[in-house]
Amino acid sequence: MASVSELYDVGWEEMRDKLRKWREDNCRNSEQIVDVGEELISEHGSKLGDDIWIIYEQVMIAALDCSRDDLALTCLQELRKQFPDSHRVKRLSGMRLEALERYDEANKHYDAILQDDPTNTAARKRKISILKAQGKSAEAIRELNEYLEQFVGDQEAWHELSELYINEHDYGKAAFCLEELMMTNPHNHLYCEQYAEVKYTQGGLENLELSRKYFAQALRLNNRNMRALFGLYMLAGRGTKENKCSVKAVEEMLESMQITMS
Amino acid sequence: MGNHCSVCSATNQTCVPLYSSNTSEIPLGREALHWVDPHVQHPLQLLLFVLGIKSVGDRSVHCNETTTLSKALLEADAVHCPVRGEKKAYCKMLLHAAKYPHCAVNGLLVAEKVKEKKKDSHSAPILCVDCVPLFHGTLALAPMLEVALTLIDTWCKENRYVIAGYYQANERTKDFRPNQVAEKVAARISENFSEAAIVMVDNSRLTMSCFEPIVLIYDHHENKWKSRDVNTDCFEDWLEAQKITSALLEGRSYENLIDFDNHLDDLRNDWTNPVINKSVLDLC
Repeated sequence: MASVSELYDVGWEEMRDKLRKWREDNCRNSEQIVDVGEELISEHGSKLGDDIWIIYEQVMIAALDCSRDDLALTCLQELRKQFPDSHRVKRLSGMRLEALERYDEANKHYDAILQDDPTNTAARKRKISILKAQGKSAEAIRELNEYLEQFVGDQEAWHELSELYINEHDYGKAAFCLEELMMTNPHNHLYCEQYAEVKYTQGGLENLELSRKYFAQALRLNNRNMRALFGLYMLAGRGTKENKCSVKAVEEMLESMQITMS
Repeated sequence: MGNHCSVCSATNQTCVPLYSSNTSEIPLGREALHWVDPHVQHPLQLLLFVLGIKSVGDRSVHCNETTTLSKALLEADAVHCPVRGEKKAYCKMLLHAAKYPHCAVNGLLVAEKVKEKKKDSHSAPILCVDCVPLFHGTLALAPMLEVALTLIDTWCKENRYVIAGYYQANERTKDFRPNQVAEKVAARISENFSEAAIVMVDNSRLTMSCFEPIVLIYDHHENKWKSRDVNTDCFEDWLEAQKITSALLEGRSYENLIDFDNHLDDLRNDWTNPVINKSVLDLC
């Protein structure tokens, strides 16, 4: 099987930079990370310097996603050797146990971390993920709510909670979570647009009005947001007479968008 | 009734003609189901035949009590699959699930539009020829789903298709029950197409080789969605479907699969997936 560097004609620096980009963007393209990362570690490990540790972590998590326990274990062992008492590495051990569906052992791992350091957010979030994986959504929601009472600023957690609520069809509470996110990120068009979608799904005259406003707001923040444009189109023509926006205006916007994109 | 049984030459009220193929062996009980005349569409119709209202063929089956046989028929709800899958549909469904292993995915199944049903409503099995992958991640939000249904409906009308079903693969591996979203979408589809089915992918059995069909098909009976036995007969050509799906999974073709979410991210992405369709044809 041809190596990544051969297939794409890249050197090890480009591979390392690509991995960094994926790390920063928080992409979950695990198969690609495993391909690139495995080769980078095995062939160019010595040239990476201190970068290698964070790459080990990234590749290990991607390997767990791809069911590559061999690779995950290798990375984990290297990290354990280098950082023997690290909570961050312990969390990775716990994640490996989660991937093997040994949830009770994983929970013990995380409890041990929390006993040592009760403010360790990563371990708490992993415990909530275990509940989610086991299908215990009500408990996951409860634990996540408790977590957010302590760590109000954790945006990832608010977003996760909104998703959990949406899956339980509790749109009112999902909207609340998204409101928190919009307050702290007023320029993020994606939160506006998702909030509008939740309001639309909730239904009812007031909610549809709000939905239209937030689709419009999302579009104002980013005029290429197709979902917001479509949402506005779906709602155009509904609502009170004074607020009816012209369906034609939205259609024209849609057309111009399609032309510029194609 | 007085049907003359060609096997026992006796006039036996419980001995009714059941199938038309000329076979030397006459299976009994559940095996009889495999010999059923293909015109019989639904277990209840078969029951009518068994009760002797209409004779189908010249072979008969012995049964001591009609009730035993009819009970067996009602238990075996897959006498024959009204909705069957073609390789392109099955393939793209699995590719979609494989592309987003960490998310729930869903999509629509489309079938070719048949002309008006004949008077005695013995229509041919509905063949799902294609599928349109819809979303991944959060499936329970309405606006984009409505947009998708409208756009896909228009596309169907242009291509003489009809939306015939809905598929979903849940987020968790061991979860294969249809949830509220599935039931709601399927109810919506049933408004336009009475025999809409829900197809759930059994994630725990998803492998590269796909030796057996890993879907569960649910039909609407008496206000509930009941699952039906799935076997290779539910597919137009199972061996081909298995071969092609396996080849595409190994070749990581799912990286090129476009779902409606991808289309909304960038309108240039074509959710009809001409590239994958061509790959399927090339492998046939």
